[in-house]
Amino acid sequence: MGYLSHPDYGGNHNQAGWKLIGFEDKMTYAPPFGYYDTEYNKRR
Amino acid sequence: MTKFEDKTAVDFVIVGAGGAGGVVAKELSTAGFQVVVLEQGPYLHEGDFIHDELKFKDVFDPPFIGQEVLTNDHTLQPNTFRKTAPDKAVLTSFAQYGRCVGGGTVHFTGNYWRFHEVDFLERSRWGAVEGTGLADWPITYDDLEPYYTKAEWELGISGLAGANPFDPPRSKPYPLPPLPIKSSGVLLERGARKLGWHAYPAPTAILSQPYRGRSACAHCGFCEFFGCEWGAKSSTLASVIPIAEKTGRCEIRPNSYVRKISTDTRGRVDGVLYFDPQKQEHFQKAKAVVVCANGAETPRLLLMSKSNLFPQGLANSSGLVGKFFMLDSGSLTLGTFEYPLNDFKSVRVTRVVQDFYDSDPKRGFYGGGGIDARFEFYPIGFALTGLSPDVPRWGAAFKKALKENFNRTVTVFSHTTCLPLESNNITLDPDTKDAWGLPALRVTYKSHADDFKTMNFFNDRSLELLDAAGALKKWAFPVEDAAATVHLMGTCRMGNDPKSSVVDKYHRAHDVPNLFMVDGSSFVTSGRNQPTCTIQALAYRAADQIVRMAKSGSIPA
Repeated sequence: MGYLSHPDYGGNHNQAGWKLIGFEDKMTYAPPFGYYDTEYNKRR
Repeated sequence: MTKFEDKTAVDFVIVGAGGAGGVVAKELSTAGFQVVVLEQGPYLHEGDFIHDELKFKDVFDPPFIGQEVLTNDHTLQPNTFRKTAPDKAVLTSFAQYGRCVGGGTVHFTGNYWRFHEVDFLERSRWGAVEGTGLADWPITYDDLEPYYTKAEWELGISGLAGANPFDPPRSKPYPLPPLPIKSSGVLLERGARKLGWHAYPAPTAILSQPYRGRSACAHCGFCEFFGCEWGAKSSTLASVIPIAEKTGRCEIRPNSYVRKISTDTRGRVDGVLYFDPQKQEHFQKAKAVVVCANGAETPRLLLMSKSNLFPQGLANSSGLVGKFFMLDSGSLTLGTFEYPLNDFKSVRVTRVVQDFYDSDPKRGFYGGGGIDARFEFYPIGFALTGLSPDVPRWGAAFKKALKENFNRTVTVFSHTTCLPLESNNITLDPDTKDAWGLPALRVTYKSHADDFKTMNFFNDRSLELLDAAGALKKWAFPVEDAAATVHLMGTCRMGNDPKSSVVDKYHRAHDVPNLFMVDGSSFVTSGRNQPTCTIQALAYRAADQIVRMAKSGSIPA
């Protein structure tokens, strides 16, 4: 669990676990978020 | 900050500062009454809510990795569970609820579905269901509609009126537009269209735009199980409790655990006994008490409030306090898709389908529900439970699957009816005590056969939906009896007849004229298991009536 936990616990050093799976921890994001909503919004 | 003395009889004590208690506190205090709200949990603020899955992730969701920061701590307040009365109850973490100021609205997903007209009339429309207490409510959708609208506008709900062809009539649109669609919502919409179903923008208790001095959602993705750092989630903590406190007539007293509602020799409530954080006992005097402690703790508190006048527990002449317990039934299916969804961003749910909301005699059993699409995981939870069953849980193949699927997985989640059975109930455990020496909450619960059929029906529809949306692979969690629950309903049911219900249609206890129960315990039926919207509409309606009664002197102290 430590490999994917908050880096403060130590097991996810430099967010290595999060980078592997493609997770980012940010306070803000803006749409579009992924492939399908990007394509959806292009059609609108 | 307003402080009342214990020995001063305030107009109202409210037990529980959650989804209902926060609303009632705001309504009573702004109407001019003195209110003390006793909340067993802490008073947390936006700065306390951080993106730490190990700390905050809710434990109800297997694999139970959280620390119960926002919810009841089962190490201090154990539950016991048995399927049927003859079974020996065993220790478990079965019933979970918000245990902080704001209650469950602090960590909930924010799905905010109104009940439909049929939810209040199903006994009349459908008929009896053998072995159940299926009954009509003593109120109709029309009675509650103004209060649904009030809840949506006061608390701040985002949605699109008229988008769901199955929606009941409404007097006003939503105050805020829907939140931006996510890839999970696009896929649900795509699948639904192919099947001839109707996806619509999810009504959500999260602000899509700034509203009444609060910030809009920043799409950080930590909604379900977490508190919102932005105040964008429309919890009572962020919305109405600050208004209540500003009146100078409302004291929120956190870390205050009520153990008994006290009555005088005339059988009227005169205050509550509670423990402070040092486990010292206090008595807060009150002219009336409103219990908003949730569908499990409200009946537990009434059962613990026995006296010579009320030997079966307070307000329990019917013997029904704790009975007809209902919970969150449903099914959970998953699928993987070709391209990245990045669904860890933003709010959980952006599209919903309610084509199978009503019971349909053609199916051959009672039951209905709704379906949403979401990504139900944070990184640790995904690694433990989010991969398909055929993937190894160790080594290079495990790592590869995590890498490939974290951003390509969708959960299709159905929320379905749960029938009210008298044999499903909350009682006091005769053997197990909590850390304060009080009897533990004992749950007895076994799903009705029609509930299983409904869950299986929705499981099948969800898998069809994943296929139609183009899933590369799909699988389902087993459909089985609940091992834990967060939607606690039905245990002080509302009705006109004191022999078959606990509270009247305005939430006043049939047996005690200055005692009210306002929360999920009042539910007669479960709706489609997204109860918060209806709990809060009921709270607005109850508060409206309590204010009228108090002003006209018809709540005898």
